[in-house]
Amino acid sequence: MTDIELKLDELIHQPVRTKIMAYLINTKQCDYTDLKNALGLSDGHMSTHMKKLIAGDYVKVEKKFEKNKPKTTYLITDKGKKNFKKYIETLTMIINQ
Amino acid sequence: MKKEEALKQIEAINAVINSSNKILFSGKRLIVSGIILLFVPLIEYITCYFTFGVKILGNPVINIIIQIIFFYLVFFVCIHISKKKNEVKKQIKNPIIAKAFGIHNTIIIAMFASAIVLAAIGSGELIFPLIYIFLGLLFNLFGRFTNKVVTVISWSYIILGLLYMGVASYSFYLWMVFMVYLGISYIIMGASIKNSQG
Repeated sequence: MTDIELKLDELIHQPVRTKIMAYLINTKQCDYTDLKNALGLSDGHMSTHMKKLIAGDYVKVEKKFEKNKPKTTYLITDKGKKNFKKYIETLTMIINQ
Repeated sequence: MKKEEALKQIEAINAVINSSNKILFSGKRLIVSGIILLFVPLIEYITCYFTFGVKILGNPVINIIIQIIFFYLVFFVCIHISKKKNEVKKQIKNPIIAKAFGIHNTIIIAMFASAIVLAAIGSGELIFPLIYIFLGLLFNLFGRFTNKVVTVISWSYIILGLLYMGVASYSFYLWMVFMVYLGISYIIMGASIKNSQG
């Protein structure tokens, strides 16, 4: 097993982003407020880390109006799912080494 | 990365995944509901000369509708009062679970509709056993996403409901015993949910 194989995805391997990805991998989608409350994140944290995940095409954002109020929903992309599974596999490999 | 760190990371991911499957309803609300249920026999006794003991227009359907509205309002007011001002609204976070919970309203409507129909056909003694069975189905659904205590109690509702159906005609006052069990079991479920939510 080489070091290259065991390299962890840097975009996911950050405490806040790991939590966001773990949450979204299970729920598939979640709105801004629910995600923020569930993970106990501040607006600043949410915004900073979501921007990175969106830029990496791991998460996509949908904005719409519900009862005249703006609603932001985050959805995990296929790339995000694939890379998160890969991340778990790498962690498992490290444990089993 | 060391093995220990990787293990911790996996545990953290599991914790997030598990938390996203939980929190469907407040344990505290269930405890309050349980306490109200324990008071129901007393409420019925106190109000027996007001509505429940007097057959309005001699129509059992009207009586059962009044009872449903009355207890709905009692529950609504008590649960509303017991809510803290700044309490964060508990929501079903996982949309897959939310979808499964869509059946919840159907069960509640079926429960009330059956109560009205049974009263109309003169089989009022079967209303409470049927409510027990419906509650069993409802909590069985909740139990899948909360904890084992809820699942065990849900099965006890279904079994007791069936048993009650068989013996309902023997004593009119049996409903009080079943109502007390309902109250106590609500408090137990509420406490266990509250405990698991920390």
